Amino acid sequence: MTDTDAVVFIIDDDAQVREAFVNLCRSVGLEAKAFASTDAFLRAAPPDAPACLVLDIRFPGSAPSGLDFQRRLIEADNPIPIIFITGHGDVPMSVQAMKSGAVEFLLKPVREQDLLDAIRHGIERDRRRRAEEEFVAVARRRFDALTAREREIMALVTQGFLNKQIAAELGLSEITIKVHRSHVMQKMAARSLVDLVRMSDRLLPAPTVPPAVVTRGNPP
Amino acid sequence: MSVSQLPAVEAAAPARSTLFTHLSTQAVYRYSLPVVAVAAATVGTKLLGVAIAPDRPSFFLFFAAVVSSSWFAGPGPGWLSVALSILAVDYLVIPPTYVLDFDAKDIPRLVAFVTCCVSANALSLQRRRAEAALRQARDTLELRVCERTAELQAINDRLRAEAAERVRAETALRATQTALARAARIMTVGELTASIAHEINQPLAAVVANANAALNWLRRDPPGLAEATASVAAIVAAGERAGDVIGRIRALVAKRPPDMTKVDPGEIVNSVLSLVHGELATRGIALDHAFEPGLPRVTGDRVQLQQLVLNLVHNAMEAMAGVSDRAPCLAVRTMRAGAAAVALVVEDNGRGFEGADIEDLFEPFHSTKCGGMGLGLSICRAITELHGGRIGAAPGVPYGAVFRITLPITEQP
Repeated sequence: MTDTDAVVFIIDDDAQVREAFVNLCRSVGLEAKAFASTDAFLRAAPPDAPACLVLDIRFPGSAPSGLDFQRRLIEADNPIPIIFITGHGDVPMSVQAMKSGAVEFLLKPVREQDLLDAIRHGIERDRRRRAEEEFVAVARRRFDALTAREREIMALVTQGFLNKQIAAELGLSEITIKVHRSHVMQKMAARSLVDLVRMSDRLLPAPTVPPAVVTRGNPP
Repeated sequence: MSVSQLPAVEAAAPARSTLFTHLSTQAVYRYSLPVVAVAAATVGTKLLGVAIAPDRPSFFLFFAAVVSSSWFAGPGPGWLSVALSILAVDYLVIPPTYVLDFDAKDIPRLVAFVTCCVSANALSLQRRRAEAALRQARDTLELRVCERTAELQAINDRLRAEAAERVRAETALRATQTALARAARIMTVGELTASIAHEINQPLAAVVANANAALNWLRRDPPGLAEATASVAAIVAAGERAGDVIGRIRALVAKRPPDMTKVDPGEIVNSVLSLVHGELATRGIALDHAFEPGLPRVTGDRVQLQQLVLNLVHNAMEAMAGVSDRAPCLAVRTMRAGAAAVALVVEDNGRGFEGADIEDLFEPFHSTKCGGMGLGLSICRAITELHGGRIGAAPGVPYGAVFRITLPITEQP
């Protein structure tokens, strides 16, 4: 396993069980941290590394249940991937958990491979999410450095309008558009138009209608 | 002592015929006594008269003959001796001798003699009667004492038989109670299966995870021997814990006679709570427990006391089912109750008694629960009483029910 920077969080109120899971993770080279309760986990500093959460939903009826906790995390905009482990899960519960974005829903006693696969899957998902967030953050910083005119032109370019159409739309010369456009590409560090489109997808609201049937793009 | 002097006590029937012959033989002896005595007195008087005072003979020997005859032989011989003495005195002593005649001058002497003889005889007989009455009274008393003793003995025997019967009945009752209690325990344990399965599943999960970890540590290059060792130690601990859970359940459902030992009330409660922990969490019931530190121990059967607590806790959980307007909370506390007892309180904020008569709660087959057998609380009471304790119930404030058990302390802390 190469996830030397990844962290597995384990929440289980049974000390023996959580120490066992920590031991299991460490034995395959995963960093693991254990918490006795969801509250203790929330009090701890959020991780600055790819992470996933192994949550023992001990009791379906207990309040707050694992599902409640999952809901709370989603509401708090904490996207950490969750692997549920339960001693007596039922179908509606697992459906609910998976619908809410759980990585896996495992029954106790858990097979080692299932758990480790789920953990790796969760960490991979978190790593991708973090990379994505990083990408968006960088793009956002670069986008913020653009002038209002450049943003306007970027929006139209990424919607597939030609320089000529943009020039007509904005009442500028095509040359001016080209200059602005090359500034945009430079400032956004986009190697190609596709690169720029990927960034704008995450930064700008999507156009309400495809550009092919309109002559004007939406303002940014 | 002659038989005739005995009080009128009937001798035993088989001895009756020999008694008659005995009596007739005795009569001959008895009536010969005055004859001999008077003859002896006459001879003595004659001899004394010759030796000492021939003209003034003394009569005292006749008195002796009369007194001894009536004393030793009874009234008949006594009066016979009186008559013989008078005749002897008149015939042989008072002149003219050898005729039954006397001088006028001797009349006072003769009268005096007769009077004295009669009085001596009467006194002697009276004395004899008094003695006999006294003896009879004593013998009657002895007889009565004998009779009463026998009566008391019979009563005693009856009481002893009753006591033995009672002990047998109590033993039978206790055996039935023990069997019933066990059946109830098995039922309760059955109802808690999910919770118990969880209690075993937990250490099992730890065992599996640690075993896998140990394999992983050993497969490393170089092998993580220290970590593998720690993993195996963790497996041992988890395995022991699973064994403890099984042991507790087995002890709870095992068939065995009550075993009175000194037990710690807090430990009893803890062992029960560890079994129902899962059930409480499943039902979303908050647990509030407080054990007064340093409580003295009580004498009791561990399993029965566990059942007692388990029944009350289980009841409380049932009572809180379906209550939605407040967070269910179970409180279990142990504390001192005066100088000589320990109290154990189980409190819930469930439905409460709903107007049911608290007095009836502990009666067998009285149930407020739908589908309840109505045996739980009656078993609780039986167990409490077996331990010399008391159980009581009261409505909770503002909701629910409070059950309080007091058990006598057997040792100083």
